[in-house]
Amino acid sequence: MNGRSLKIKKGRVGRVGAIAECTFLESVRDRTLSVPVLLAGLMIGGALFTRTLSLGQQAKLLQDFGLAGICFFSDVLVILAVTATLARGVDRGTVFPILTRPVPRGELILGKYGGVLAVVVLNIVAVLAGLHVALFLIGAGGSSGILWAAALSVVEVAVVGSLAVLFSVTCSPVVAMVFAGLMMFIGHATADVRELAARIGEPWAQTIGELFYYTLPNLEIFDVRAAAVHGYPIDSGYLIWAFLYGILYAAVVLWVAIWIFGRRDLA
Amino acid sequence: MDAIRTENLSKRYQGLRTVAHALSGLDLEVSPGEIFGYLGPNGAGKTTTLKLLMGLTLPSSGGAWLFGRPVGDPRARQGAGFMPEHPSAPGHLTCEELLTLCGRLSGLSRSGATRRAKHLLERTGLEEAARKRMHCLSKGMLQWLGLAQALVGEPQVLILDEPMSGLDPVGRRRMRDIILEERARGTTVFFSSHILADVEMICDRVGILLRGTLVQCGQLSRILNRRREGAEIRVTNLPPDVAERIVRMGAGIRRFGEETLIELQDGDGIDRVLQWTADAGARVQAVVPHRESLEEFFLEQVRCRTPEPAGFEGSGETGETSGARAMAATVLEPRERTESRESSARRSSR
Repeated sequence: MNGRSLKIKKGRVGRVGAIAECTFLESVRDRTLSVPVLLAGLMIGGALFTRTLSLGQQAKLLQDFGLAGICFFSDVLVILAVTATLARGVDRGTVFPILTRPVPRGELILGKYGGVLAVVVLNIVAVLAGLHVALFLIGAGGSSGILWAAALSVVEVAVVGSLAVLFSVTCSPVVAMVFAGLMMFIGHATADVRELAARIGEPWAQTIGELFYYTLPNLEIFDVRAAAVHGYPIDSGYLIWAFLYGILYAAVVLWVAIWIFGRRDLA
Repeated sequence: MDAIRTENLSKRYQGLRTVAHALSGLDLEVSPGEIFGYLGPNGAGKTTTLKLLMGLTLPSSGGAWLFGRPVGDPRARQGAGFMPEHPSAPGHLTCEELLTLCGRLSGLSRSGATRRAKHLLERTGLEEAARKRMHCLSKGMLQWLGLAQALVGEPQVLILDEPMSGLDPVGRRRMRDIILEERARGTTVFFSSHILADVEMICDRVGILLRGTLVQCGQLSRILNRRREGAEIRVTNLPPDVAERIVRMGAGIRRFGEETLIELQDGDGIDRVLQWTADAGARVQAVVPHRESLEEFFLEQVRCRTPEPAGFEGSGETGETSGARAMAATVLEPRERTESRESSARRSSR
């Protein structure tokens, strides 16, 4: 190869896709990230041996455990994967081969986020398949409710992942992991915090409660496990609203992360 | 259009109570196709400059351009290749995967990037390590991989931070050859280095940075004093009376068995000494004229501009000299000093 003879293909999508592909490979090869998946599998496997404890509700128990495992361990996985690839990447300079190309910093964020999300979705699909195999073994079947519950778990993962990205571009890897983990727990309690603030009765408490409710992610809205396990119908309007909320929330958080990252010294 | 241009480029780091000026008012132009050596002691601001040029660090004031594009524009990096001082990459990717990724991000198609990756792995001697993951590579291999990823996009300007660092002499020779090959292709090369011998061998121009300020910049042949300052003459079978005559004229003599080393401080005495040795039937083995080396020039710059450290005592040296010596000592390893003198001598004798 000599001279300036290389044909250059332009494309933001191509660059983001290339970064996402390599992030996917990195995450899949990182054995520490398989731990949450294994734990989710253990949860489901453990539930198989609860026939005597389940009082004839083994299928419901399995579905509940399975969906809870998918939700919780997927959140943990996305936090670990994002901080490993992004926070640690910035800290150790392993993102420099990317950032010294004609790649805007925002595309790095989107590519890393997309790659991690792909890994987590793959893991959710794998665990879901394992859950269905377990249900089949005990003579029970799956339902559309389980699939919708898993789908909303994916949206929850997208939201938690976006928060992990935000903390990864602003903090050290460990701090990012801790903050993202805290948000994961707080996100399931925002409605309770709002209600508690309302019960205090003071205007300042109500203001703080409202502020928390509308700025912190409300992850409870993605939890339809109870309806799925008990076979109650899930309103399609609710599903659409939950999806839109999650996608919009993640998009806004990612936009803020990209804005901050673009103004940061990386070295 | 300059390949690299900076105007009043500055970088300050604000602490709680202090401000550190990593770079102050850098005005620099690097022409297309030249090799520019960027020198300075540790902490002078060389790496800061390179990272500002690549957009990894944001300037506090001033500006920088790569082929006319401001460095803040990602498109400025389309024609640039950067090799950091400590190359690193995601640990679970293989060498080939990393280079393919870099190629795709530089705008190549997947197949084009794969071909380019294979070509560069061969060029940098890493073809055996193509499928090795990053965390299995040695420091030297990482250095070569760092160069390979800088070359992926066939850059018009190569920006290298200490490219010789961690390489053995064979590796350093190979690195110099690659830099010269790139220059022959029309690539501009801008690199920082502590190894002055390598800089003196291949650079067209050098710049010396001290405490964030560019103190010298220009062509090597102009900034170095090229007057013959002295010489070393190695002879065998030199009669004692001739040796005495040489000593009386002010030269130094050292004997190593049958060989005698004559050290002349004044270049004008060379012809006389050669005449005497020829008349006496002694055999001249080598004549090595001494010219001011880049190392000597660099040390002089550091000495002149180093302030006296507070509270320094004991050696009898002035604070300025001892401070400069300490600063300069961080620049060169002892064997590099010897090597630079030897290579300077070899070059002068050609």
